[in-house]
Amino acid sequence: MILAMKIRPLFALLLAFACAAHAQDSATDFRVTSAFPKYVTADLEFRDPSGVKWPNFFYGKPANETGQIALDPAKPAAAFTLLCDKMAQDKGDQSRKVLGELPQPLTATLTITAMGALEPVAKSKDKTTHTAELAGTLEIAGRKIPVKAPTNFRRHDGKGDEKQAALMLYGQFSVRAADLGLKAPGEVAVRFALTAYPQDASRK
Amino acid sequence: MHLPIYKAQASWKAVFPLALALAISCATSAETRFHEFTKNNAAPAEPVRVLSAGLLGGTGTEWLAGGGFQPDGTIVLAGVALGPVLDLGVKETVLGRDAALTAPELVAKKDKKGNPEMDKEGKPKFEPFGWNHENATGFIARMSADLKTIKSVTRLAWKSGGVTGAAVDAAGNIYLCGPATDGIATLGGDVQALPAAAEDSKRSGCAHTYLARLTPDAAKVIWVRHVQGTSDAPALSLDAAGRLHFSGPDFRVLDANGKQLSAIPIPGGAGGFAAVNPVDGTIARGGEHHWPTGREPWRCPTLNIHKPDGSLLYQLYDWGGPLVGLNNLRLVSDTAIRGVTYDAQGNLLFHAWSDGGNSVALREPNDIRASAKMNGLGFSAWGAGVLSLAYVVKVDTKNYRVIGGTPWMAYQQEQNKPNSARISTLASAADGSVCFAGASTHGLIQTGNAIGGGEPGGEFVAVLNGDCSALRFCSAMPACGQTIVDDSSQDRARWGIVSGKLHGNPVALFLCGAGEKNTNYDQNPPPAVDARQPKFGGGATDGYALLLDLSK
Repeated sequence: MILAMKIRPLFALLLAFACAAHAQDSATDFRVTSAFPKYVTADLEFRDPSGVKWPNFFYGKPANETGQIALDPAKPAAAFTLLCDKMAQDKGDQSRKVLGELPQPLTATLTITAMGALEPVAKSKDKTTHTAELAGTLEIAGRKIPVKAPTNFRRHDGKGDEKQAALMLYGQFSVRAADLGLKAPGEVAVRFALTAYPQDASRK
Repeated sequence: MHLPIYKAQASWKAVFPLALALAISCATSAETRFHEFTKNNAAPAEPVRVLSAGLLGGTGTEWLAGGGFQPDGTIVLAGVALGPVLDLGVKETVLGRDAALTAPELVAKKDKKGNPEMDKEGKPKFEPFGWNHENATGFIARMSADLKTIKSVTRLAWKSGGVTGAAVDAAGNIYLCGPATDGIATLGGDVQALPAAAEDSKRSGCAHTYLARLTPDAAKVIWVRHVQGTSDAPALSLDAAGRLHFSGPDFRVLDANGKQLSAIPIPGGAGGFAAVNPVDGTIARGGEHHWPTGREPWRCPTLNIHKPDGSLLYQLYDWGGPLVGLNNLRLVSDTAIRGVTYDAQGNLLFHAWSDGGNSVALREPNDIRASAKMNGLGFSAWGAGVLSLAYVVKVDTKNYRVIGGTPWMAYQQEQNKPNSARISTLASAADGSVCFAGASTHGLIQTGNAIGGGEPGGEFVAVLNGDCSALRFCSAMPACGQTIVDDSSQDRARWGIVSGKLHGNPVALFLCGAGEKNTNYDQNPPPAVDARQPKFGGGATDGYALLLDLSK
């Protein structure tokens, strides 16, 4: 009896750990919010595929507290906006950069409104990685460009530098340079990344 | 498989000696990257040749800071004497009117708690003397090409001005710069006070600086220009057109006749390190930016390129802590630019520091996701904890892409882990080789032509080939680097490096102040090779010169 009383808290603790671990593994709903965490979680990058022009890097956070990603194979969904309002290396001559022609300072916003079918990455050692196409709008320098971005989704287990369980997104797409207001012909490669968190992340 | 007990015991008895032998063998023959890299560099593919290494000092306290090469093969060594005498064995020519001075007093070194620091023998450690000591007085020794003979010695008037930089032009004229006092006006020649800097530099090394031209025999002063205003250690360089670039309270360009051609405030104000591109006059300014974002990294490197008028041209490396710390980058090691210079072709050379291996120093200056071409020596930081790593990086200034470089560190001998190393002085040599000096923890990777003769640690000098992919020379330098020569690095430079041609061959001079014997990892004296003066002369330090032939 005494032994049972002694091990009961331990049992409860183990059960809690097990539930938490299961919750992390099985979480399908992630929030994309400006409220958590306090550090930067999103970036956008513009690159000249020929490598002649220097790339532009933007970083920031979700634009609001209402963004969501549902990593449910039966009903995948994504709706969020990334507001990347800080441009790295924004001082001095910008003419060598891929977006150097555009009026400075620049803010880049990516609004995602739809998500395609969720598929596991073929032959990946990392079974937590899936891909899906996200659709939305890139907004920069007063222009709105519809985009479709093949995107990787990788679950992070909350170990290492990033202490929270998380979902890491990495997507890329191309836009016509002319659509960005650039005189140069051809295309500009765009890449975005985001760290999203389970619904209860901030309470841990 | 289940063995009967007796069989298992028999097997164990048979295997035990073998296992023990294997364990002992592994323990005694376990090699680390220290052994691997030391072996790989035992016979460098492009070795330099040590022409001479030795002291230059009398009973007073002296060190060497700069110099150059005259057309007839004379080597000009410029340094600082703290007095009370400069007795190099040759009667010196004195320029100006001496002020009274007393022997410099040693100041005990204290730890963070205010307790005196002791060396391994239990003797007190002392603060190093530096370029802005109140006694600092410049001198020039003109030497034969083998450094075996002193041709002449010239000293500035006691306490009139020190030396933090020197240059020799194609005609053999000698230029000096350094901190000044009012006594600088007594040196002779055409003395002019230049207008004070338009802006206070907010630097605190000294309050008065000078630049002077002497005749090739160093017997007379042709002109002196001096400037009032706070300054770090003044620096001096000659560009391809023979103009003088003087860095003091601000940047000034003068012609060989001492006429001021331009003056601009040092871009970015106080702090950081700057150098002028001898090809196009652009200015590089390196440093660090602190980001209190609550997430590593705290220190991020800055490297700004300014036009000759001081306005900002390009912002390099300065990504911002929030971007660098993103989960998809995690270049979390604190990193800072700690010294900048240019080579004769206008390529930018800098050295950086980081507290770990995940550093933006390994990326392109304008593309944080692109790895820079800088793993020439094969040094990597895997296995490192928190430590001090150094980087040497060469950047093509046409497109600001890395064209060479290497991380620089020591390696432990017992565990296969990196160990700390710092760089305090960096320069490009006449043949494009990259020369640097600094201090290392135990486990410095030395080349087979090293001259230290003791433990692999402490002060060191090194020479890399042009793209930093091969080590041409690296040696611990016991008892050397004992004074603060200038402010060209965050770690306060303890060496001056000069390169040029001697009888048509590229050579490099490493100059410093040296003590009588090492107090660090061994008790060795300063290395001596074909030296005019192998023995210590007295005072706290003597001048020290290492002359390397870089011919391939």
